[in-house]
Amino acid sequence: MTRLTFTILIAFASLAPLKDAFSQTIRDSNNNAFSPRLSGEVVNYNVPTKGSQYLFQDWLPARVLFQSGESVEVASLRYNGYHNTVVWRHPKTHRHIRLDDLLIKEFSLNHPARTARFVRFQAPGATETIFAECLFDENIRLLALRNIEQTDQVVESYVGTMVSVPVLEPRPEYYVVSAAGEVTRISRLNRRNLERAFPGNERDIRRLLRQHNLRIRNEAELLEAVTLIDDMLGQEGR
Amino acid sequence: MKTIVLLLTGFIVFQALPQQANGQIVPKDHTIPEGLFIHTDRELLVAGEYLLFSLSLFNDNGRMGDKQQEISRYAYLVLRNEHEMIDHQRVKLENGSAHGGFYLEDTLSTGYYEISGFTNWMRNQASGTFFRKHIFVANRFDEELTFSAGNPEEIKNRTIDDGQPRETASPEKKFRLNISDSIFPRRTRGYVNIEADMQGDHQGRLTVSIAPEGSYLEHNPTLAAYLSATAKHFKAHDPTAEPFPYFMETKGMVISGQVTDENGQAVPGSRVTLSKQDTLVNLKYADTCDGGLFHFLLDPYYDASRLFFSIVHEGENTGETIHLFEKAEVDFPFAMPGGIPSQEQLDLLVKTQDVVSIQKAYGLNHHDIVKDKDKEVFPSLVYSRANDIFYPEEYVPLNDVYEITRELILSWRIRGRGEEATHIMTDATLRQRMNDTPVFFADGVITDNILPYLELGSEDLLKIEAHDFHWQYGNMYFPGIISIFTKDPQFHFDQIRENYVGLLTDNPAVALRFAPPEYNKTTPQINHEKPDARQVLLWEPDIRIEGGQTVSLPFYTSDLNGRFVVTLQGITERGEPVFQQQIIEVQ
Repeated sequence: MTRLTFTILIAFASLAPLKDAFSQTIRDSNNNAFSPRLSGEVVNYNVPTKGSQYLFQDWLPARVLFQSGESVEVASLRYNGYHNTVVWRHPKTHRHIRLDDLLIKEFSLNHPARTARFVRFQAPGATETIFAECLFDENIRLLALRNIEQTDQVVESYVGTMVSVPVLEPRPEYYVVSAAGEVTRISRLNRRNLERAFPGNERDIRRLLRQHNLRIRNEAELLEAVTLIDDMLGQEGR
Repeated sequence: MKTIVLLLTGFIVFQALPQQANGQIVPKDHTIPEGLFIHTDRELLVAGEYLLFSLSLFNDNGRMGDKQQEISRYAYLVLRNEHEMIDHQRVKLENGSAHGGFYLEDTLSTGYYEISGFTNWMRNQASGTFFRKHIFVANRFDEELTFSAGNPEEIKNRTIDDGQPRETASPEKKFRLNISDSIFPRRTRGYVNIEADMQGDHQGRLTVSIAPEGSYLEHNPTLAAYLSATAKHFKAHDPTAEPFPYFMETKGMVISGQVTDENGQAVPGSRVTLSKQDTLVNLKYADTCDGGLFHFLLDPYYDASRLFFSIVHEGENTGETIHLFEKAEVDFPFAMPGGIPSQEQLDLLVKTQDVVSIQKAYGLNHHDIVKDKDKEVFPSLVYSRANDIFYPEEYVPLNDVYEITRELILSWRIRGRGEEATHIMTDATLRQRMNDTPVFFADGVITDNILPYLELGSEDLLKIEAHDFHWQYGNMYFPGIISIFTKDPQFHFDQIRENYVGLLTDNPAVALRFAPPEYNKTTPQINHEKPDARQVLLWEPDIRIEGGQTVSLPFYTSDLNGRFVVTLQGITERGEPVFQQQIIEVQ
């Protein structure tokens, strides 16, 4: 322990009460004391699977926006793509709670790699809305349903007994919502399917994608292409 | 040495952690106090008239507050006399201002009345910051105008608080007030022109009125007087002291209260619930902090409703009691003003009695209600939709809830009858009995007494919702939820009312727009069918004017002649008070 280190510690300790005063000043009563309450069914999704049920395996800090416009910050939230549910881990009891999603307008998971913002979305032909990750949100929107599906089933030993274990794999579905609100599902990632989402602009889009050497083979390329298309269509609109 | 380092490190980490007061309740530490000023169209009125007011909110420097700064969204106005509270209003503020009116009931007795105004946030300051002014109201049928002004000897020496005499004009004129003429015929149009002479582009927030000369009481404070009198009462919050108990209502109405035990001592850590009687299962809860205080932020859903507060007793009931803080309570005594109205003012009141009688006889009203935009409301729902809903009327009539559960609701079982009755639910997901008693809601209100409801039959019930899940609501866990909705909620609820503290909330007061008949200046229109006996020729409560701008306001004279006073009052964005008056004559 050097004298310098000790001095720095003393200095920090003396600053600590200032930090307290500051934190008290910035605290917003209407955000802390009056936060809305998350509600939902206590669930147990801890069944054996091969492959994760979740978009992100870790519990993540998140912000949940209610239909009322109020929001609440939570420490532990996950999106379960197998059950299409938002799961909250209660901070005190650690119960897993499937949130009553009709009360929620959107939520954002703060993953170190990216902030995944989920919004309510009704796919064409669907009777109910579910949460879709909003990958791009300007004049046009790109949404991804983070489905996790059972692709196979294997029998494995689990706690001393042989059980049938589902094999799970991510099966995302992508939707483009045009500026006019038309929804198109991109059933398979390729140039042609993306061009079809913008009737009347197919030729320009084909040229644009060739120009940027984009072949739309994965989500990153799809996002890049949608960004370019939005910029191009936006300029035409102006 | 290692021990010292560990202790220091621990101390730093502890201080760096976010501070929580008993879990959650920490009032916002604003350090900027608020004040508000109320302009009225007149200060001498007759019962049966509207008292029109405009209200301006500002901070302790008198400034209107910059746009980034949070200010209160609601103000509370109380009208009272020396004996009782007559009326009160919750007024919704838009950017710190509002306007509306009090209807003075015909039955009011002749005498002085006081109008006081404050925000919830101002309750943290001394009540000396509350705005107070007097009005004199004459009963319409009181020919003698008899009233109590207190002891005559005392009146001679009386002064009102720290108030100062009414000014005749602003010391430094920021606005030029020009009237299109000084003498007007009856039923014609004139103009009040206001020219902002301020430097820069800052704004003024003004009110203009034209009322008969003598309509104002001499002793009431001007804005300048109010600002200087109240400045010494403003106090900034000491960060080392207890947090302010009253919240600034920036997003909605806040209901606060305290839980005490049987000895009157504050009870921290107690859970208070709030529900509204409704066809929706709604619940809010708050845990009391160190001083036993709790607070609820209410959405407009809870306006004009009967709310029920109760305490969640996890163990034995130790005599805890909920005390709600009254929103419209003023804790200072009514102060009689110095002096009494002059003989000229009493003569004016006699004339006004006749005017009001004419207005009543012809059904004349010169105020329109400004409708608020319909807003979406958001109850604090426990769940968005119940897993099962049963409408007993759709089935063969059944005698009581015991039979209904047996025949219709498979997930809910009641064992025993009457005082012996217990009930339990089966989880819809796991198909297993839950271990504890489900939570029960009666007509939307959480209650632990299910017994009075078990005797109700199909004809009494609207619906039963069975939410057969292990359910978490914030920090509250419910082993299933049963909600019974009756056809006569009030009747049935009376049986369990004693378990609750009730509160009747109001809607925010409506704004009033002054709507006089309009006349053309060149061709006076004499409508003999209906008189125009207005004493107020102009009431423009919310004028926003920037430096260099001119505002021209038309006004219309009535059938009444005499001298009228044009009053311009207000405040600039920099906190400079404005007060000017001019006399016009109607012949």
